[in-house]
Amino acid sequence: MEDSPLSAELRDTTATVPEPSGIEPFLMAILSNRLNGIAAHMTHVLEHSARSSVMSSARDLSTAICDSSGAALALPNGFPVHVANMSLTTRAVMRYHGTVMKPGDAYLNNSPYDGNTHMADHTIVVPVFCDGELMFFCTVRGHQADIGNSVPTTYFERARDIYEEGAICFPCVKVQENYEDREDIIRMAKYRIRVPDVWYGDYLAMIGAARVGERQLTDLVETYGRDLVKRFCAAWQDYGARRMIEEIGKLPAGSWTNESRHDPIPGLLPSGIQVRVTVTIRPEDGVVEVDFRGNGAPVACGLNLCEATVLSAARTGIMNRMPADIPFCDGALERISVFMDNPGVVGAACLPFSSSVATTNVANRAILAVQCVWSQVSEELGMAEGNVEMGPGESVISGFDSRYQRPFVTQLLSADSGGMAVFGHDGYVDYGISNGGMCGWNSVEVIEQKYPILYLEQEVIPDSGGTGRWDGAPATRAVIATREDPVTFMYIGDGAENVPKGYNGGGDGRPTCAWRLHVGSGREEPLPMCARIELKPGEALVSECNSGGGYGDPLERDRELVCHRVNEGWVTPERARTVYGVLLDVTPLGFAVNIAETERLRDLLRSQGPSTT
Amino acid sequence: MTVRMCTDVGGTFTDVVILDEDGTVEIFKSLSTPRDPVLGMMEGLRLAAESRRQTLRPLLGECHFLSHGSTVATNAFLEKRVGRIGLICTRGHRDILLFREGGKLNPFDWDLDYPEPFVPRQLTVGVTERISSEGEVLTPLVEEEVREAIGQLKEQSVEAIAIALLWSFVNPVHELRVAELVKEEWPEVPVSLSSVVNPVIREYRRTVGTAVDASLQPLVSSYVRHLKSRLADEGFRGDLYLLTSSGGITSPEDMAARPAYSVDSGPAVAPVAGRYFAHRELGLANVLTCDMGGTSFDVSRVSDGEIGVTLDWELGDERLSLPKVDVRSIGAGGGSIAWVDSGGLIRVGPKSTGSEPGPACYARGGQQATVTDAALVLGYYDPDNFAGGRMSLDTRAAEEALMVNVAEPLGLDLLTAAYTVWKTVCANMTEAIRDITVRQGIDPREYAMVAGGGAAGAHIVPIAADLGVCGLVIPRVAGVLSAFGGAVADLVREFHQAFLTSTDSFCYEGVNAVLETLTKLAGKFLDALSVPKGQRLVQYSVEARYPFQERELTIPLRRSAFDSPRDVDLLLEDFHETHKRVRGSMEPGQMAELTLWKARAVGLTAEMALATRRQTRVTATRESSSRAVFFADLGGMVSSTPVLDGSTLSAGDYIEGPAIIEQPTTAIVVFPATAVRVSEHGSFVVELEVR
Repeated sequence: MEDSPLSAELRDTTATVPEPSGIEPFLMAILSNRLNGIAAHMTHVLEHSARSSVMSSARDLSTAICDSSGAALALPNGFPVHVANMSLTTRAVMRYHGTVMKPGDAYLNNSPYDGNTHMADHTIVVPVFCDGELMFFCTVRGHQADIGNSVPTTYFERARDIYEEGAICFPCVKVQENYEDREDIIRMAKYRIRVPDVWYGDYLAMIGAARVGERQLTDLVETYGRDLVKRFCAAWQDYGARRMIEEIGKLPAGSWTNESRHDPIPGLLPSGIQVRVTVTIRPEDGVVEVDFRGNGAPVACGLNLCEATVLSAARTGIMNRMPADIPFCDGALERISVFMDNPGVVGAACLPFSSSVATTNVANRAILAVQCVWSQVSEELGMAEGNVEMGPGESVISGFDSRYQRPFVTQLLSADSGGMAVFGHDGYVDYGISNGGMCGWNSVEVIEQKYPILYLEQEVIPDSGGTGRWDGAPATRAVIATREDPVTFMYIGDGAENVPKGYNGGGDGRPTCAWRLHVGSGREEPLPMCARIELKPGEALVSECNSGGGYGDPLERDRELVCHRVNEGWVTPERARTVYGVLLDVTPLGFAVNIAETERLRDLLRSQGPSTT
Repeated sequence: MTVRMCTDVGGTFTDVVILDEDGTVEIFKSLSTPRDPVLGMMEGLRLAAESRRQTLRPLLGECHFLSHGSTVATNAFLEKRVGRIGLICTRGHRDILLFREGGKLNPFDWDLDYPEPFVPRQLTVGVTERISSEGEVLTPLVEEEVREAIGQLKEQSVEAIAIALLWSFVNPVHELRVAELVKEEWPEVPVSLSSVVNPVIREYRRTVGTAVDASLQPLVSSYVRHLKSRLADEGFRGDLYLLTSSGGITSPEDMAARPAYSVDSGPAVAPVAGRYFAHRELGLANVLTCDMGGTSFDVSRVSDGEIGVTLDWELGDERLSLPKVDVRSIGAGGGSIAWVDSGGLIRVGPKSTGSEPGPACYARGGQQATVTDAALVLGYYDPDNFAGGRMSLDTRAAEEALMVNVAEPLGLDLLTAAYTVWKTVCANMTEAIRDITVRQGIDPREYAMVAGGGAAGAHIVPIAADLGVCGLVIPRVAGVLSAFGGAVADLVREFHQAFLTSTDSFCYEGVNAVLETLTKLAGKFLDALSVPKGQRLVQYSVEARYPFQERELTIPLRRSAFDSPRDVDLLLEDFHETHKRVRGSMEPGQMAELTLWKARAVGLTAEMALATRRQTRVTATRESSSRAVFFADLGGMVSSTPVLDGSTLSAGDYIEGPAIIEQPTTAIVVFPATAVRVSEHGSFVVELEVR
C-alpha cells in the first residue's frame, strides 16, 4: 500500500524552527485576539441557532478560520475529531473551485473522500474576499440529525458501500451564489432527508455562522490592511510551530507501539478491528510521528476511517498531553506528522467503501491507542483508556411524535461518563473520546419537550470506575422510556468485550451493557451492543456505559479521597477495604478513615502482591 | 435637609456616595472589613459625617434613602462558605448537579479535576414522583418517601432544603406538596422551591439556582438582620434597600426571601450609573458602561434605556439561569501581569498580582511587570501623586520588571515594551466589549460609553476611539461607579412564567392569562414597596425560537396583551429580524415557538438632578505642571505634556490633548487629536475626533 500524501509533510517540518516575524508584538496580540474572537463568535452563533439537539445541546459542531492557502489559523475549542483536520476539508474545496470562487459563494463538503470526516458532518466553506483578493475561509462544520441514509441513523455500520449507506454526498458542492441558496440543490436535499425542516434550519445556522465570520473578517482587513493581515497569518503559524517545537523538545526521544481493539460485531466483523500505532518522538526536530500503516485494507462496512479522522485521531492522542494553551492552528498541529494506509480501514477512504462511522468507534480506538502511548513515554504523562462509547444511551432515535404531529430523528447525547484516569487526576466524569469531553449533554427537560421519550433515570453506577491511584470516572446508567408513540433506537456500541484498559497498575473499566425493560412488570431482556430496535409504549431502554480505566496502584490512592467517594456513594465500603485497603469508621456525619487500620491493611495487601481488581 | 446614600462594599474598598437634596455629590472610601463588612461601611459613613462636620447619628438621621451592596454572598459562594444544604429531587435524577450540562472548555486538557456537585450526593435525596413536559402527573408523589427524606436531612443537620423536581415550572403541584410536608415535619428549616426561585426549563440550571438560593438563606438573612440593627442603633430611620443582581434595588425582606439575587450585585448597578450619565451629559440612551479596577474589567450594556439582562451566566463551576445583568468580565486591570510565552507572544493577564504584593512599582516585593507598571513608565501616572496622593510609586522597579519580563524576551527597548503591554491590555478590553456588542448584533457606533474604575483613565480613550462609540464620559464619580448607580437605582424585580405556544397556533387565552398573572405579581411587588402609581413601569418580553431550536432569543413585547393575529404577526416579524441580526440568518415563513414570558417590574426612583458647577472661567486650561508622557502618534515621549489638577477645573473648561488630568481616583490621559470638555456637572466629556 502506498503512503498517504501526508507523509510528504515530514520533510518540510524537520528541524526548521521558524524565526520570530517582523510584526510588532502588540499587533500579534491584537490580531490574534480578534481572529480567535471572531472564530469563537462563529461557534456561538451556530450553537445558538442550530435546530437539532446534536448541534445545539451536544455542540457537535466546530468552526475554523483558514488563511487563503486553506491552513487553519484559528480553531476555537471544538470537538477534536473536527478541529484537527479543518484545513483538509477546506483545501478539498479549493482543489475543485480554487480559481473560480467569488464573494457570496458557499460550498458544502460532507465527503470523507474529499477531506471531510463522515457524511453526517456537513461542512460549509465560505471564501472571504477583500478588495477582490481571497484572504480567508470561514469553515463551519456541524453534525446533521439526518442525512438521508437508507436507515434512520447517521452512523450506518452495516453499509457495505456508499450505495447502501444512502446519504447524499456533497463533494464540495456550491450551495450559495451571491449570498443566495442554489434552490435546486436545496430542493434535492429536502426530498432525500427525513426531517427537511431541521436539516435546512441547521444548514441556515451554519451559513449564518460563516457569514457572521465573513463580515467581521472583512472589517478586520479594512482596519489593518491586506498586507499586514497576510504577514500576520504567516507569523501566527510560525508562533504555533515554535510553541509545539518547544514542548516536543522537552520530551524523551524514542519510538513506542501500542494497540486498542474494537469489539467484534456479529455477522459483520467477527474479530473486531485492531488498531495498532507506532509513535516516534523526535525532540531534536520538534516532531512527533504517528504511524498507523499496516492496519489493513478497507472493510465492507461503515466502520472505515478516512484521511480526516485518522489525522485528527493521531493529533488528538498527542495533544491530549500537551499544555492547554498551545494555539490550535496548523503551524502547531503540523508538528505531528501522520502516516496512514491509502486506502485503509485506519487510513484514507476510498470509493465505494463506506466511512459512515468514521468519527467515533474505530476513531475512538485510534485515539486511545495513541494517548496510552504516553504511559510508556513517562509515568507522569500517562493516561488510561476511557469509555469507548456509542452504546444505546447515544442512539439515533426516530419516529413520529403525535403530540406535535411531526416526524423526528435525532441522536441522544448524554449518559456518557467514564473519563480515563490520568496521572494526577481521577477520570473526568462527562466524557467523550473523539469529542474531548466537550460534548454537551441533552437537558432531560429539553429533550422530553422536543421528543416523545422520558428519562426515568440517569445516575452514576456505584463501584463502577476502574480503580487505581487515580480512578477512572464511574459509568452511568440511563433508563429511557417511550410515551404514547413507538420509537426506533439505532446504536453501535463498543466496549462490551474490550473494556477500557487501566494502565500502570490501574484496573480496567466496566463493560457496557443494555436491556429492554418492560416498565410495568420490571422484566428485562438483554440487548446486543449493535442493533436497531423499536420500543413500544410501556417499554424502556436501559443503557450502562463503560467506566474509565484506572491509573496506578489503588493501594497508593489518597485514603481521604477513597473515603470521600464512599460518602458520595460512588464506592462501597467493601470495595474501599478490599481494593484500596482503606478501612472506614462510621460517624454521625458519614464515614471517616481509620488511619492506623488502613496503614496496617495496606501493608498486608502489598505483601500479598499486586491487587486483583 | 435630607440625603440619599449608597454604600457598596467591594473586595478592597467600601465606597460611600452621598447625594444631597441640592444635587451635590460626595464620595468617600474606607477599607473593607471582610469579617464584618458592616464595620467598614460604618467607618466610611463616619468619614463622610466628619467631612460634613457632623457625627454619624445626625447624618443617618437625615438620610431617607440608603441602598447597600456587598460581596457577602458572592464571596461566600466562591470561597465555598455557604450553608450546608439538602436537596430533594426526582427519583432517578440524583446526579443532575454532578453531570451539569456536560462538556468542558478545552478539548485536549485532561490535567484537571472534575468539579464536585454543588450539593454533595449524600445530602441529595430522590423521591418517587414524575410530571411530564405537558405538566401531567405521570407518577404521583410518594409522601412517605418525602417524610423519610426530610428525616434524613434533619439527621444530617442541613441548614436549608432546596426542592427541585423535574418539570415543576410547568406544574408545581409536587414541589408545593413537598414544601408543605417540610413545614409539617421540620417547620424551622428554610426551603427554596425551584418553581418559585427560577421557574425555567433545563433541570440543571434550575436546580443549581435553587440550591444556590437555599445555601445563601442562612447567611443573607442574618446579614440583613445585622445590617438593619446596626443602622437602627446609629439612628437610621429611613428606607433601607439592597442592591440586586438585576441591576436595581429591593427591600431587605424581599432580598432575604430570594438571596440568590444578591450575588454579584455590585457590578450589576454600574450600568445604572452609566445610563444616568449618558442621559445627563449626552442625552443618549444607548450606553456601554466600563469599569476597570485592579484585577478585572467589567462591561455591560444599556440599550434604549434598558439594562441588558441575561439568563445564562457562570458562577464558579456552575451555570445559572437566574436573571442577572449581563456583565462581561475579563481579567484585565492595573494589576494584570504581563509575560512573554515560549513562542514569543506577549500575554497580559488573566493572572493579577492583586493588591498584595501588587505591581512592581508598589515596591512591596512584586517582581512581575503589570499594566500599572507599563502605564507608569509611559508617564500616564505621576509616581509622586498616585491614587490622589495616597501612594507613591517606584519607577525604577517598574522599569526593571518590564525590562526583565517583557523587553528582553521580545528584544524591545523599555518604552516599546511598556507600550506593547499597554496596547495589548487595551486590545483585550476592546475584545470584551466586542463580545457584548458586535457579537450580539449590536453596532458600538450607536452607543455612548461611560467609564469608571481606577485604571480606566489611562486606557479608555483609545478603546472608545477604536470601537467608534458616539461619546465618552468619565464622570467625576468614576472611582465609585457602582455606588453612584446604587444611589440612583430603581426598584427592580424580574418575574417569569413558562408557557409553550407558537405563532402558528397561538393560544391567546393562555398567553393573556400568563401576562395577567405576571402583571399581578409585578403589581404586588410594587405595592409592597409602596411605589406610587405614577412611578411604576412594567416591561414585558418573551423568549422565542424556531421549532427544534434550543436557545431562545428575548423579544420585547409591544403590548401587555394579545388581541388579534396582527399582534402575533408583529411579534414574529420582530423575532425574524432579531434572529437575522444576532445569528446571521432567518427563515421567512417559518413559525416561532414561544416559551418563557417575562415581566420586569420597575419602581422608578425620584429623578435626581446633579448640582450645576459654577462656570468660573471659560479660558484655556490652567497647567499645574508638566511631565514627559509617551504618545505613539507623536513619535514617543512628549517632554512637556501639560498635567492638570482635575479639582481646579470648572464647567466649560476645554482641554486639548496631549494632556493629563489628575483626579483623586483616576488619571485621565487626553490623547493627541482628542479633547476633554468639563460639563456643567463636572463630568469629563471626551471628544474622540477633534481634528
